[in-house]
Amino acid sequence: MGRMRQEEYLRFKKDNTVSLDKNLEYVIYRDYKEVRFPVDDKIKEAVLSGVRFEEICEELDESSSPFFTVTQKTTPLTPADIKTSDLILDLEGLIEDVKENFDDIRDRQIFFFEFKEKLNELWKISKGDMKKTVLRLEYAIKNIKSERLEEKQVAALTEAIEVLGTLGGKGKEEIKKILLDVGLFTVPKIEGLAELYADEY
Amino acid sequence: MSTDKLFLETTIQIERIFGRKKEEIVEFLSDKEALSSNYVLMEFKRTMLKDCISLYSFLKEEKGLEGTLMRLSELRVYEHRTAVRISKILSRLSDSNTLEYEKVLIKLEDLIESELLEEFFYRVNLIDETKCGLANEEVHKNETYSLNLSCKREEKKCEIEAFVLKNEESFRKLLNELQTNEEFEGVCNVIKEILKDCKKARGRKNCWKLGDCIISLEAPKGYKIFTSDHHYKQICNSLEKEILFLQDLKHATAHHF
Repeated sequence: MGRMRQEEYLRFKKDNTVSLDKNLEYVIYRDYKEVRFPVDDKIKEAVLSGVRFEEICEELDESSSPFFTVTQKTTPLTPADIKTSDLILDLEGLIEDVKENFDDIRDRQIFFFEFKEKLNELWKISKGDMKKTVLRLEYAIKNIKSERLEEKQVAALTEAIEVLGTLGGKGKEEIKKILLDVGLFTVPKIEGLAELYADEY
Repeated sequence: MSTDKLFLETTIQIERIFGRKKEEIVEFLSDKEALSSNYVLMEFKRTMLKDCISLYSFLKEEKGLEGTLMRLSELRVYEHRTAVRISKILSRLSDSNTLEYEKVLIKLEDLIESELLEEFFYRVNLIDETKCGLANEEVHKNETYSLNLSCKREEKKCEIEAFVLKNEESFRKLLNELQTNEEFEGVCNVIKEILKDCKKARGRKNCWKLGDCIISLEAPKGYKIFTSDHHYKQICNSLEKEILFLQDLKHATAHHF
């Protein structure tokens, strides 16, 4: 449920008014209800054809919706979930900025630096496998200077953030492969280590 | 001889994960068929993984980076090589102590619980000629981590005896070729023992001493042994197996291997 809501939040945040209640217990969407997606093709088609998510919601009779089911909110997102989702959205935006401004070395530096900082913010509020996954990303880029960044690496980071938003900590291994495939290493170099081990074998 | 099949020995697995030339290695291997073995995995666990576990335990006990560094510095008096290795790992993980303690701990947890093995298996297939039981041992977490890699002759955890019998001729060949070199004196003594009684190959004392020979013998026909360990040169020459040194990687790449 939590994951579903997080995806929903990420995907449709721009098209919804989202706020927190006074006690910071609930995320208030359009109608204070939880919308659970069966991920129907029709809803995808509608969104892809340009219909706003809010419009789809308004047209539907909740009890007989052909697109999605509606239930009372039982497991609201926590403020930390909201913050996480916001930071992931920011990261998506920043890596997109790096991509779009790749040819301008000054902008590339600014956005890539902000991306690194944002990743650190996300690390601070994350827990469990999510924390480890964010740290993998951080280790992968902390010693990469923007001027040495390659376009294929930006594409990989975009993909990695997408996986992070969808799978959270469960995407740990997938993210590592995405990064390794473009030469972004999540484990630091330790010079001379293999030589030190050679006599042990 | 196929030119795109490589058998990754333990030092290369470590170089591939931590080495200065890791970009080159990963790039070089990207269009090759890479193979390794369970025995290599065991060596990897008993060195690399064990050191990470040990570092984690020091960090937990000392509750900080500074205290751990001091402790490791003192450890050099008692166990120099181990202390140097663990200090190197800590120094790089903490980015020369600029990273916070918690970040280093979490990174180590990830390395120990999954990341090291994910790297080990990245684009590599495994064979298992010795059925080494230690290779399958898993890390357990309580206050800190533990990994039981004890191996005693009387406890059967592998099929090393069958491996020795199957490769008896090769071991004899190795004995003939290596006994002229003082560096291999210990290895030759063990080979003599196991040729008399293959049960003597069991247990860490003898088996681990034969590690380079076992790995060389495991490498299937058609695979070049990829290593950075100079000991393999004479072993592979004796067994007429092809070898590629990491040090020669540039040359190999320039000649399209």
